[in-house]
Amino acid sequence: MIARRTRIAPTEASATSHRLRETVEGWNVVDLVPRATLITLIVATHQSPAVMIACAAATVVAWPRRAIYTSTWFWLLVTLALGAVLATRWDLTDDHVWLVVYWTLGLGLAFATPNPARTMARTGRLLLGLVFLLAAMWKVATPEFRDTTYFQFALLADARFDFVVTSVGGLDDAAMAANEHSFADLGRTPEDGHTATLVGAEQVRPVATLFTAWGIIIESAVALAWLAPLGARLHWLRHATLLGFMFTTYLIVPVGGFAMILITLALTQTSQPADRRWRTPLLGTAVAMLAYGPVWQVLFAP
Amino acid sequence: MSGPRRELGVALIAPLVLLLVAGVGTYRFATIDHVSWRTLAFGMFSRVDDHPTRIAVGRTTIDGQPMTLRPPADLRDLADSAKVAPTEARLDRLARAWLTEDDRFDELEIEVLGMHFEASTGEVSLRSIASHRRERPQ
Repeated sequence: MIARRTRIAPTEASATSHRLRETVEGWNVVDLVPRATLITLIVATHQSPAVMIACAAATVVAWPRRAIYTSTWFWLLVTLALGAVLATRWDLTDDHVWLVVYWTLGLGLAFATPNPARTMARTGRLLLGLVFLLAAMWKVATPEFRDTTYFQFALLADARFDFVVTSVGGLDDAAMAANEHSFADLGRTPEDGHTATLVGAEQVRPVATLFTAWGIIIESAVALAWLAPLGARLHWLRHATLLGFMFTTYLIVPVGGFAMILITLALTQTSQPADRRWRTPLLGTAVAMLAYGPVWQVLFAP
Repeated sequence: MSGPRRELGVALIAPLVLLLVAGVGTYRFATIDHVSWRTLAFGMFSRVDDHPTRIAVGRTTIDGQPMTLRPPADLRDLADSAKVAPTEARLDRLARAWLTEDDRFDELEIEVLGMHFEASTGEVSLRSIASHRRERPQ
């Protein structure tokens, strides 16, 4: 009896997984991408509750109505409304939230063309590639990033990295507490020439070197793969580099809104049958990233 | 313009907006010390200097004693804005709001300090990025 159950269970699981895969791969990209964008809007605006609620309301209205989520006017209205709200605090808003605005503009314009799938694929690929090109260029062009100073500082002073430092960086909780104390004092009595010393700069150098090198390599690789005119047989490089970036970066410091917009842009590349197999890993990653944020908060957040 | 070329042109609009805005942000970084993390040019996680590592202070005299004060909590947005891009206009906006809120002094110098990290010694030091003096309007 038990043996029969163990034989049946994997078969059912595999059949369910197969059906799920078939369903996901059967979706029209013109339905999939706007709906992913609606979810992205909610996630990316979570730091402004009023804006997030407005985005959630727009999602409730648009989600079941193809005429709305494939409408140029709907997306241009979203672009204008969100852009106007963000403009009041434009440089206190994270860059990736602005990327969402650029994308809603691109999506709205795509629906004004005869082939929205092709237009959104072009816009999505360029936006994603340019973001990584700019990010990689800042890193390569900044001496304090190249010589590992930035990551040495971040590992010692940015509490989001505490669990990395204490688990693999060779510093204990007491050292991190001392650093936190020194850092807080520096801000409390801000005088010219006032200094503080963070302990462990040498100990974290190997981790900082790894993060620095990997940051430049993976961001350059994503930029190259997404901006280069690759043939269909090499499209896998785009998704593989992007997922490589997400799993090595957002597991350490999760940024749910950024992850969602990147995945939405990547989904624009899945209209051709050969590319549709990437939808399941991309959507699975989106779900994992959204679930991981609260888990990270509980396990590792300062 | 033919259909395919028009379609290509439409597809390029949003990426061009991104590049244009990033260009302006990078110019602001180079000319007015706008923090790279907030230039809309995707310069985050590349420099120690960011608005949380910048400090805005007000220097003044109260009862004959020179004092260095932190901005009041309800002026946080103005202080953050001054830290992100310490232009004279933003520093002045913060100073005016502060003078309106606190009547213990009639003159205030706003200063934005940035952090410098020396990796070989682990030393963090504060350096002045911008300052602006404002008197209470009579």
